Amino acid sequence: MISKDQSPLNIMLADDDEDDRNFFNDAMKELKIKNNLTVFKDGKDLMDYLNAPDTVLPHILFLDLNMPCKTGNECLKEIRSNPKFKEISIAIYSTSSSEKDIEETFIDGANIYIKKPNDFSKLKKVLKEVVNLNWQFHTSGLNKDTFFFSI
Amino acid sequence: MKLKDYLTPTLVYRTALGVSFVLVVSVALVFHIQMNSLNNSVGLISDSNKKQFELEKLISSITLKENSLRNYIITKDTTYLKSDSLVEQNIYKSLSEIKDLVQKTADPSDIAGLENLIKQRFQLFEDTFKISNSENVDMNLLKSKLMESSQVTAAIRKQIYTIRDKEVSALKIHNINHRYDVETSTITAFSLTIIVLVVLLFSLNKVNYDFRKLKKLNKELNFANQISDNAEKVAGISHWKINMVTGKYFFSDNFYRIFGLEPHAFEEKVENFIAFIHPEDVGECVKAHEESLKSKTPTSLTYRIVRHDGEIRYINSIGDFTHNSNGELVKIGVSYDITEQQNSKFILEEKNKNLIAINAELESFNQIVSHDLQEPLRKIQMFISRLEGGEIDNVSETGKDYFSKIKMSANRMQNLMMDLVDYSRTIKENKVFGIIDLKTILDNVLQELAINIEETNAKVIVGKLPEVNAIPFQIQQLFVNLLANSLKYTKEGISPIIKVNARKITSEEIINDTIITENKYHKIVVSDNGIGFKQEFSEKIFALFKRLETEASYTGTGLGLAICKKVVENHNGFIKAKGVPNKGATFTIYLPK
Repeated sequence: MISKDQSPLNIMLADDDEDDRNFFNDAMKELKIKNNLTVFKDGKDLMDYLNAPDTVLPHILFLDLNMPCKTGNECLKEIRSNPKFKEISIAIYSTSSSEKDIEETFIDGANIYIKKPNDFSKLKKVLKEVVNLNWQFHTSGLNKDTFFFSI
Repeated sequence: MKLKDYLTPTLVYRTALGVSFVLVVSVALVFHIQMNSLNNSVGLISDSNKKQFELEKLISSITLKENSLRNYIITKDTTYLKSDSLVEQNIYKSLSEIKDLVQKTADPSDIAGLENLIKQRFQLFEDTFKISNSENVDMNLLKSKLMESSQVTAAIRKQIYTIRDKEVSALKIHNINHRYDVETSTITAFSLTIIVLVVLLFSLNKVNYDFRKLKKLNKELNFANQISDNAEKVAGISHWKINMVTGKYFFSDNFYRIFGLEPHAFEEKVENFIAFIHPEDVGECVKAHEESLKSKTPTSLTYRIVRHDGEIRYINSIGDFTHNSNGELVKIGVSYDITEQQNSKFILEEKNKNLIAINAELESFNQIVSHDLQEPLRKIQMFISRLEGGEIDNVSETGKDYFSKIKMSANRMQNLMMDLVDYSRTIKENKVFGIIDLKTILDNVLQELAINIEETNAKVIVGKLPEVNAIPFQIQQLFVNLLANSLKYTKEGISPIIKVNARKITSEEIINDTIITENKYHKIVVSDNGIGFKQEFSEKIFALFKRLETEASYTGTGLGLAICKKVVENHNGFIKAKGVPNKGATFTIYLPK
């Protein structure tokens, strides 16, 4: 029995593609899950925001891999090397399905790997699953660092 | 046979030599004895003749003395007495001669008797002379004396004739013996000559035979040397010898040719050879050489030489120690020109580098396809799905149709790109083989195709499958593609039934000149009950981008089976297809054990 926390979910998305950001936003809206979504255009902006004092840390961070300035991998490494961010679930949100990327992000500490779907309804489905998944962890206290799930 | 081993040619010839030597010597000895005997018989004959002669002389002397005495008695002429003493001397001489001769042969008593008679006769000569010389010649006494004298003379004559007759008969025997001796010695001499001749002929023959054999062997040896030299020339090989005892070096003819010189162009000294070695290699070479000579260990070196015209050649030199026919320690070795091979090696290395570079470029191309091309495509698909989510209701029927076609094309493009990526993965360089359980692979496959299986209500029956030595992701791709095909190409309204089984190879099959046997290959069969295909296309379907069914209802990129074939080829295996239109298709995979 999953008891849902009534407080909204803090979600962050870092993606350099405007269309993808819009899709994401629309999907979250249609899911009707209470959430606070913050979007970033690239890795540098993301890290600046995270490192700033008094920022509200997200529950889940969706990280694109191919970004200018700072790539998703670099952000991932930075975040995971900082104990302050260890509560954050990181979902890699990428177009690539190469084993190399999946392996690398897994080793660097990502929790979920999502291949960007090509269908809006699929996107909604995926996001719903991810959010629900994270709830389970939130409540059951499993170690996020060691869990890896690929969609 | 032991006897045959003993009868070596040397032994035979030595025995023959000994035997013939003994034979010649013994025959010569026999001959010598015979010659002696012959000499003896000749002596005997001459003695006998001499005796007879002396006997005759004796008689005639006595008769002569008788005559002279008679004449004196008749004439009283003293001139007849002059030769008296001489005659007497002769008589005694003959007698002594006969006596000598007698000692060698006949009856001495005969001679003694004769001597007596002669003495008697001489006495009578004296008496008669005295009587005839006295003043008063007593005629009766004279007559009786003369009578006595003639009697004695007759007796002498008789005796002499007896002796002579004995001699004659002895002589006959001597003659017979002599003839016999002559005959036998001739035979012996003749046979000796023949034996010597025969032995001589045999030895000459043997010498001639041996000489010819030696000449032939020598010719063959020369010929063999020539062939060897030619072979060296053709193959670019040479050989050398270092006599550790005498310190002498020997280089074969082709050794010089490798240096671009005529045979024996320089003296066979190691310094002359070292002078040709490339300055960068000479230090190491000399060191290795000297060490090897000290420790008597074999060497294998590769180094460069610089010819007089500046050309650089690569030489590979291998040497080892052994003993020659005199028991001296020698180092013998082979040096050969590997310049061509080295150059080929360099060219190959260059090509390899190029290939690696090309591979890297292909890799980046792959990256582009898997990332950058899929991006805009995904966007198209996303926006279409957004439209379908709402906006599409504002569009006309034709518009909706168009959108649906756009969507299909986009999907098709995506499938094509994904399949291309899969295909490029199968030709990638780093293929890691491992022992994998096909059952596990099939489980993964079923999981990957779970949605499709559910949608088509398909039944997949997987039998007992072996463990194979293969590249896991490629084998998985293979079965995914085959099963996806079976799930795709189904008969209308009929749920697909797919069977995956391992089969035993009962009879020998031959594919592409390779014999497939049970102990060398696995045989796995994937069969379905779908639309099948015409058997005449069984090879074509594996071609890249080749599709049989171009109907829109059957989506396909034409890459699936091409990928299957590539995977199977990567494993040195085979894949064969069998189809019956409207009944189903069977794909048989052979993988080496």
